Amino acid sequence: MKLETRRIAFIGLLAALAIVFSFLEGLLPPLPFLPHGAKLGLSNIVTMFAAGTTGIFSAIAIAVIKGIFAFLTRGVTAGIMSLFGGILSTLVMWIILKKTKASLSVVGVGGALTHNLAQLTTAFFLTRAAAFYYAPFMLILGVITGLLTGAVLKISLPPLMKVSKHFGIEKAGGKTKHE
Amino acid sequence: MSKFTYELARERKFITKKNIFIFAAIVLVCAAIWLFYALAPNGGTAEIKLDGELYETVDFASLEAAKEIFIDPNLAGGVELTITADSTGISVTRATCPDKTCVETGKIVRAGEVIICLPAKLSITVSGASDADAITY
Repeated sequence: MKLETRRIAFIGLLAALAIVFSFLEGLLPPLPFLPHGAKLGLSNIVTMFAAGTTGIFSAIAIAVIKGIFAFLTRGVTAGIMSLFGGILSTLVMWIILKKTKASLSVVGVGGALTHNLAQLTTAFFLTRAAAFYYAPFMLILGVITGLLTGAVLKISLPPLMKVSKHFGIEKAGGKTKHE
Repeated sequence: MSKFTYELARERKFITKKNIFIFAAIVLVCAAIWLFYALAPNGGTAEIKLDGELYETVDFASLEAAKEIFIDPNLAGGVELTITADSTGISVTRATCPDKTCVETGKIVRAGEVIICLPAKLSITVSGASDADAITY
């Protein structure tokens, strides 16, 4: 198989994984102490992973596919929130990766906080000030899930590197560094 | 197709001491606000808003029997909503939106507490004590 083909197939797999994560998240019971409707944002793991491996365009594509899935299964409001939050957080994670040397936890938390703030902003436009009651809950949730997504990326990168050729993920610029 | 950004993530640490400090600060500040919410006294009235506009104010603390409020779906993005209020608080008891977040939020009674139904652009906010408090408490 050609490298490009493998890569496209791999991105497809990631998109499917993002959808599975957001579906599984919906099956979880409501989190204690947290507002109902608050989501863990587990599928951020996938978009962050994509932003850090296959690049920004595929990561955004995955966020869009996830948004369409939310739109089809959970309605217009959920779709808009997922799309808006997903694209913005993917962009922020990619910018932190690209422009800074910040640790992976910062990338994860930055993405998760952006995701939650984008959703809060959407909620604010729909209901006005009432939505800000949820801000502290959403921020705490963002830090927790951000650390989780950062940790997953840290853990999953080394094993993925070993099989990267099979997925069409080559090292940028052909450099071969080893940790 | 975009260039691979694999290298960007590979050689980074997971976390630094400075990061831990910043994250802890965010969590502590939010937890303090949270505690402030949790210790708020019970309110007596609730404002029901649709699309940011006041729809009805309910003085629930002075209600003797449960009161049901039906929201016109034409005003609420096509969502049928039933709000139930009694002297112990106010809750959304029925909603035809897909996510049912507002119903799952349950009953609210503390001042400042909020129920939100995004598809219907509905919010219910509990505010200060009602006139009935002087008698009740």
